[in-house]
Amino acid sequence: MSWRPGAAHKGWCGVSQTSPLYIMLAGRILRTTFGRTPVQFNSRIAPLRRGYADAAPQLKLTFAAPHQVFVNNQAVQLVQVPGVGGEFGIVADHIPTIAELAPGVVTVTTDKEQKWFISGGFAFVRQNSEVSVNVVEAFPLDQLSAEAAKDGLKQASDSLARATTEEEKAKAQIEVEVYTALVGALGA
Amino acid sequence: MSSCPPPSSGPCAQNAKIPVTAVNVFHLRATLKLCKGRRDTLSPVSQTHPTSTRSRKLNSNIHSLERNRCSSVAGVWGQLRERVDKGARLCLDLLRYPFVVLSGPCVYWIWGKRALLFSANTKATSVDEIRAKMALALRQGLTKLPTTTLNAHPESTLQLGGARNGGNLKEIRRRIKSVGSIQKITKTMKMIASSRLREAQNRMESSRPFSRTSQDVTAPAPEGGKTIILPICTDKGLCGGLNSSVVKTVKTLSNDDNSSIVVFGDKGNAQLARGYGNRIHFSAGGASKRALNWHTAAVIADRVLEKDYDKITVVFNQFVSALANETVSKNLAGPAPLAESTEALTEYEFEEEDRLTHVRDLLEFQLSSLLYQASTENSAAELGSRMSAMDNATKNAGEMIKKLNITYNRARQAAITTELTEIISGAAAVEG
Repeated sequence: MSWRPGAAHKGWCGVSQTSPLYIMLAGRILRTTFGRTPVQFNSRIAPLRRGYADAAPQLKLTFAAPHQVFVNNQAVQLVQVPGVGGEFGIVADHIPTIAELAPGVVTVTTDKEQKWFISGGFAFVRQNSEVSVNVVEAFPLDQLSAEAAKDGLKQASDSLARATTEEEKAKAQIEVEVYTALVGALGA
Repeated sequence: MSSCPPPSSGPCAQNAKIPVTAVNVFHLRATLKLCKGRRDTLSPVSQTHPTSTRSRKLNSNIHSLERNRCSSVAGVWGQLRERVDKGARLCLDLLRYPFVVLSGPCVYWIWGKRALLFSANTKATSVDEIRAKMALALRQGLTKLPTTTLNAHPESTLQLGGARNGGNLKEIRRRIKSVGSIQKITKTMKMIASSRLREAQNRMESSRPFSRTSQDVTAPAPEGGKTIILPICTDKGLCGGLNSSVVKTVKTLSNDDNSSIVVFGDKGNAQLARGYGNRIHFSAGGASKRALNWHTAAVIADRVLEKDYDKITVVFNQFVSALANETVSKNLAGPAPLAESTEALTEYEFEEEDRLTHVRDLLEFQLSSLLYQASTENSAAELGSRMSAMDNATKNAGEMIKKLNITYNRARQAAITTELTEIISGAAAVEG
């Protein structure tokens, strides 16, 4: 991981917590830690269906990472995204919004509900009820392992405690945040 | 001797002082075949004047030499030296032998794979003169020339059929071979490009929705102001006019001194360093082995945005199809115009309060995604362009080989015809 020196203007520990570098880092952790783990955790009870089926069916969602398209211009009922300022849901006729996304769970509700864990990105809500959720990395939630996330969180907390330089602190801090979000998402 | 070709330089001129030389030289197979088949018609002298016993003996010696190609030149000289005192007569006998070739001012006596050069650089015009000179050369040369030096004159190497055609033929053969190996390379490059193109195209197609939706929130690019131009080029050449068209676009965009350039790809860097070197902020290469990933794009975007700017222009080749691509330039307005722009962002609400910081983050995100997209598009365009360029190169090489083959065959036929003419005129010289 190359780390550009002299980025102090970026805020705490040299990196703005919402900058693409941060998102990128988070995505890296997500990818390297969980991307290839076999499915170990699939025992979650399907959550209750939310009652937005009759709201407005014309919400069009594009949900994509640079290297992969998850949902391409498809009609959905509800999208829930983890904004930096808090999780929020988008239905048709939402006010045009630009929101930065923190590590967390994106939930897409059509007639069924699909969940992804994302490392961060941007959500654009346009006037014509088009939503695009652009993330750096995303994995279906049921492919991630809760045990591995807990271990990772433990290791990340250790390395944060041991970190001496600003750079190490920043990296460990990002790791802790991603793992916390991940453990929270998986432990629900 | 009016039908003789013009004097040829080379062995004749160099051996002006060595009138008689013998060398292991060339394959006379074709000539021998022709000569043997027509021996009687080519040596009418032997019919009208019955060959003397001595010359018949000599001829039989020569024939035995022909049969035994390995026999040393020294042996031949030993046979010949016995008859040195009869030089003039021997000369006539030799001339009666059909393998005497008169080539320009030079007279060759040939047997098997070996040749003797008589009277180099003779300016004789009549047959009598040639005869006299040959006799003289034989008498002097055969006595003077030690047998050991007979093979030691590489410069007297004979190219039968004239040095002009033999050398030419060899050269053409060499060229056919080299064009053939180039054709193999271009064909392989084409195949590699076409197999990599599919992968690159997949990458490009899966990045398109992301880039499209990331970049459409932007302010109209302001006129003038500080501009950063990002040409996306390739690291490797042989891909048509891809890089030159990008560089050309950059040169038209970067007319004022307010612009700085960040180059991607070694080829573009090399082209822009000439004349625009002082405007290059930094350059990045090595993206051709593995296409730019998000990580690299984000790091580069971060570094680009350190610079103060009002507008960023990314110039790259957009992939249209495997055979066509289009050089496009995409603009991103800087943070100040974007934040101030009433049209672009007022319709949007920001989830967070700190608008300008988030605009900066948004820009960094947009620039990263634009770079990522430009890189994937450009690498697909590069492979497509290389595929068609190498296809054309392969076709052209094939055509060139065809043409060279025709030239080669023509030259070969011309050489044979010349040899034949020389043999006939040699025989005619004896007759006259």
